Amino acid sequence: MEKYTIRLYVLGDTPVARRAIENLRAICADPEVGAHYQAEVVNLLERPQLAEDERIVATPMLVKHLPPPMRRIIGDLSDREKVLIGLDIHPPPPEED
Amino acid sequence: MTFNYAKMSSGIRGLDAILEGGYPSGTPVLLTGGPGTGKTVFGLSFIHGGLAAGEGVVMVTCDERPGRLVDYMDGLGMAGSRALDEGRLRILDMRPGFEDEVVGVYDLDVIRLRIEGALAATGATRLVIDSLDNLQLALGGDRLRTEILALFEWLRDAGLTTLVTLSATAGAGVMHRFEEYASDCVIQLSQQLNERLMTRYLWVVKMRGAAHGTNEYPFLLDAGGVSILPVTGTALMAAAPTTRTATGVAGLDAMLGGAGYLDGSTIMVSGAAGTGKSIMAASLLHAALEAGRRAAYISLEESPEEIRRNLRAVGIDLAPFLESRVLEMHSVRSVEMGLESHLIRISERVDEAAVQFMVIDPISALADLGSPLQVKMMLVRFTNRLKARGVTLLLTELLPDDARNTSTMNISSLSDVWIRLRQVESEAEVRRVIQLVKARGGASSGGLRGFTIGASGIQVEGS
Repeated sequence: MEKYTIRLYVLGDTPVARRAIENLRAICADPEVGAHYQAEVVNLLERPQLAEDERIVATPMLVKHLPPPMRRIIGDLSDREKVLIGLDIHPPPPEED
Repeated sequence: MTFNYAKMSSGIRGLDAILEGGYPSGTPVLLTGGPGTGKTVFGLSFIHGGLAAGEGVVMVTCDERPGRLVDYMDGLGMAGSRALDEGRLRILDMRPGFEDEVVGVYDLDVIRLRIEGALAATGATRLVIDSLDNLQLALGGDRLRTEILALFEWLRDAGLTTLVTLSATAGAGVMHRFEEYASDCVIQLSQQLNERLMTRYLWVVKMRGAAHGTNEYPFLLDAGGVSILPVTGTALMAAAPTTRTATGVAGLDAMLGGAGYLDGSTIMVSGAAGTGKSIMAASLLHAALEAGRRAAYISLEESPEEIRRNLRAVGIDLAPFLESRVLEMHSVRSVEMGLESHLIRISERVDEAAVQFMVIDPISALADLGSPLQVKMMLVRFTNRLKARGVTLLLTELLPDDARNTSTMNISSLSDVWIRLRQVESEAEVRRVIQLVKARGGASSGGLRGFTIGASGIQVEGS
């Protein structure tokens, strides 16, 4: 099955950027998320034109283009629940006992 | 102790005069104001100023689409799309996505990265950010304040003259105070509705280490962009004319000491209805035209056709001067615009047509367009500006029948020459009486004289 790409834009190798990458890795480690999405990190210092194309005003920024709706999250992604809700990716409900 | 800051033209003539040269160079300038006060047009004027001087300019838009801004500039007759094509103008689209979520810590360093890229591409040293509050809405929080302060610090370190606009919405008060500390120059725009007419005002709240005008200045926003009518104390001293022009009324010249009035004077002719104010004004106008002056007649009540017909009946023919274009006549209804709008337009006309003699008939038609103090302050500014340009200004004032010797608009102090016309009833006849109440810079008789208005104009008795 083909996976959707979510992109994390960072600016340089800063503590905030590293934290965001770390948090995103942890989120994608969830099998339910990892089964459908793969993450890609883009350093805007290397590809500054993407900051224009994506109209980025703050970093880190996580962008999901597909599947719709398009979603963008600004910040170091320190709240996993909020990131999943924000991306419109719903983690499986906790198992009932 | 004062420092001399280098200045950079704002692209708005009147504002440069108020700021004594322009915005302070190399620092952020904060322009605040509510929605619709014209902040974006100030930004576009600053851009145009740079482009016109051959510079490159960068604009950051957080509000309007870049395409709309370019259309707007083109519509104002500014070099928008051409400069964009030439690569001298870069517009960075920084409209935030209002759907964006904020989760955790972020920074605005990417804004610097984008600005730096555009500066390098255009060679710009001037920058416009319009408007900061959209970022505030989209991102919010304490974090943003720290980041914006850092951005301002960077703009200063980079030596960029940056015009930053910010909405003066009620809830943003704390944010304002904060940014005001980070900025050397703060300008506030506002608008007021008086008598159903909108007037916009500009106020320089702060200008660190440099002189600036401290009043609230009315300004206009129209098809030509921003127009401001400032007057500075120094402008008053600019022209002290010593030449005189005859009034065309023999007896009046004698009352003024023989040779007429000083050029550049403000002459006021006051009187009740039917006392001959317009004919008196036209006599002086005709004589000025005969003496080779360029003139303009602004009528606030009658149409130019009516005026010319009335004047032909007393032997004053303005047609040849209209034909040779040394005279222009405009009829303006006073209720169409605010007082400031009228006076700004008139002053601009003076500049454009190099007018040397101007009639406003009657100035009292403007009295209802504001409080007496407002009207007086505006007229002070207006007459000073015309005086600084050496223009002779002739104002007629309609007095109510019961007014005694006073000027109802309380503006007699503005005039250098004050002529009062009256009709006096005695026995079975009505006599016309002229009084030279005041004549600055010349001998004056001060007394009353009779006069008549006939087919050959005004005749003052005893001359």
